[in-house]
Amino acid sequence: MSHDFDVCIIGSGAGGGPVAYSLAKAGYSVVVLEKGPWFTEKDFFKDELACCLRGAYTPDLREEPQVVELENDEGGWTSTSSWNFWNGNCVGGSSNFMSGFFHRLKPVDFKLLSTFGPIDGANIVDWPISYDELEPYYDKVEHEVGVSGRIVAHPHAEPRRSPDFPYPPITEHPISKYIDQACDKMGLHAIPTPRAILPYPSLGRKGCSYNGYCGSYGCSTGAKGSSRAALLTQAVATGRCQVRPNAMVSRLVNDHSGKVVAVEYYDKAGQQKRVDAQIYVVACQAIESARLLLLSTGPRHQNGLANGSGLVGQNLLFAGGGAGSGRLPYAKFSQEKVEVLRNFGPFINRALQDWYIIDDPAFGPRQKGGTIDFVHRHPNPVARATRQIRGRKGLVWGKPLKDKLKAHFSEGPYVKIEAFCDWLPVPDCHVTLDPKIKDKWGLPVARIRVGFHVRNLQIGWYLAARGAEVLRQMGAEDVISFAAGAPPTNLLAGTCRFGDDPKTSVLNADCRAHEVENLYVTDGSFMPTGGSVPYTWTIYANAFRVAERIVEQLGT
Amino acid sequence: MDRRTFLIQTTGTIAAMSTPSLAASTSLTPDEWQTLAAVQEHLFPSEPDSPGAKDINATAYLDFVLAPVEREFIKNGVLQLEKMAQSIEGKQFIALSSEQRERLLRRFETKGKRWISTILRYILEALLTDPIYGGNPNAIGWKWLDHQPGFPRPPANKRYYLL
Repeated sequence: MSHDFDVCIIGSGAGGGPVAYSLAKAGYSVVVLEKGPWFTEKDFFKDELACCLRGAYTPDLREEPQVVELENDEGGWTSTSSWNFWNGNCVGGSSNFMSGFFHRLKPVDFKLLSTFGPIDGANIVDWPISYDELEPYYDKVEHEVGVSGRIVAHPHAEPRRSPDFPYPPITEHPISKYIDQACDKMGLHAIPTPRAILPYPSLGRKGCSYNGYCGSYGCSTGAKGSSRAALLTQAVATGRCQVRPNAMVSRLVNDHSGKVVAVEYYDKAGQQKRVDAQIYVVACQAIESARLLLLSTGPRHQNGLANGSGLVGQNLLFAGGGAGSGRLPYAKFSQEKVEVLRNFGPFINRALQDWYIIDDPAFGPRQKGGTIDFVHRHPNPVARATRQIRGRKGLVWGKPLKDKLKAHFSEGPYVKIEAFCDWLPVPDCHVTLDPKIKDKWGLPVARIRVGFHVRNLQIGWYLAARGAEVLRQMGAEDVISFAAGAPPTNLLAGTCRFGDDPKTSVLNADCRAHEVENLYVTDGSFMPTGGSVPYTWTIYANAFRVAERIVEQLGT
Repeated sequence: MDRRTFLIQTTGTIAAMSTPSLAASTSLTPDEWQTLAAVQEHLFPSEPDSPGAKDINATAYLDFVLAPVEREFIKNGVLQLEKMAQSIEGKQFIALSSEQRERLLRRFETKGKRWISTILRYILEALLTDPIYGGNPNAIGWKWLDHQPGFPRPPANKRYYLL
């Protein structure tokens, strides 16, 4: 039977890119359907209005809302449409706008349950694969996407096949050295944070221009290893991969056999189109992937495609953790050092994983901890200035506001802490279809319940406080650290957990749906637990792994 | 008409002129704009060594940036502020002294906090967004705060509503 393509991939971000790249290179024909437009380096500018204040890369919420349910004081749930989890609707998805902090998971992350035992109220399980099975693909990402860094020994370092990264670290800000000195004194192991950023031209892309605006911004040089720059461009160059932007998939059509037989989508003009393939890959980021499966009912899938377990949309994961900051006031440093601190553009790039497992009797039994990243305060000036209008006794304006702005911007750089811990999977964190609200195509929108486990908060506070101690040791002032239950909106996983048992998981160990032999999910949805690092490297690595399984399936 | 279409249409008009004109407004009268300009200057005053609302084109920027729904919200706030000025001071807002303006705005803040913070937010945008959008002329805001912008900066044909 002939098909339009061998493989149809829905979504072009970190989950879709490696599959398109691998399959096209292996000689198969691939179509990638992306709901957003196709920007290139030539379209990305350092424009705070575009990236951040007006959301030029995310949908108009009046046309495509999401409904978010937050726990209220009475223990019930209040829904709001003022929040959303859209993260970059364009070719390459949110990987265009990532900061590219690339940490691997560690062996312990694949067996949380068997290592630490159950936690009340959390659906923790071991993964059906081990770290060793994913390790070759982490390595592959280092080379194919381009990861820069430097290996240093530390107590929780994960095993790796190659001695060091293929690219040396991107240029570091002098603050990195101050962090190293403080950590040395405290007996901690500061790690150069690996980044999916090329320090110099390679892989057909330019190197970083060190202009100081990276996270939240599209990369204008191609140095950032987005799915678009690093993978889809190369996939298209094979002549076997077609990317169709502005293609909003509404349904995976499935027949009496239970298999997917076609994809229906709306093009830019709103016309409904159809395409078919042998194998279908869903990678729309955890929330929208779950929504698409739930929308794709059929004769054998009355409750949504691949949803016999009832687990599609369940166990949604965000990134747990805490945050903090401190300032290095110019007044405390010599003129010479002030000139050095004024340096703008290079990265701080330091992380601590000394508490990846917390073995602190004062805190409790030995348990899973996480990662602390040290970064520059995000440079966006309007966002920084706008925070200054809040005062203790109401709004701040007039001369007091101007004085506050002047002090904030010119009295010394801030160092920020971002702590990552597991967002424990809980029953009250999930995606369903909203019973009433529909998007502009008439499709029910995602209804996202954002419940969290109190353990996230405890670990987040603990890690952020450890980071704050380092800032104080560095001589920072106005040091604060905290954690909050509300999730960051940019890191999503869960919703289609993989496992060996079709009753307790959506996907098998190969990320193929238990119930649908020609359907794979390759974004972060597969993760049953999230680990204590940002997800992107793991999503890339796993998608490369699954791509090999798809090649095998097509070859038989 | 959605926000993007609206912005493209209105900026077409604005781009045709050398500076954004208050006349481009559809729903605020010249008097109302005058009140707004006075409020902005009070919230963000010009000083010899630092730019204020009028130096950063805050009023024209506000006119450029307001979507239809928000325009109504801003207009209603102006009307209520003027009403309060009349009932308390017996004068128009622009006829008040600086101390009277401060007192009135603090009083207005108790119920109109969102309105004032919206005006403030757009003042700060006019101070610190790329000059291509009409505020921050000659990077006056960036220079004042020693802020280094990123590169490349957006050209006119790649402003966010044209992407």
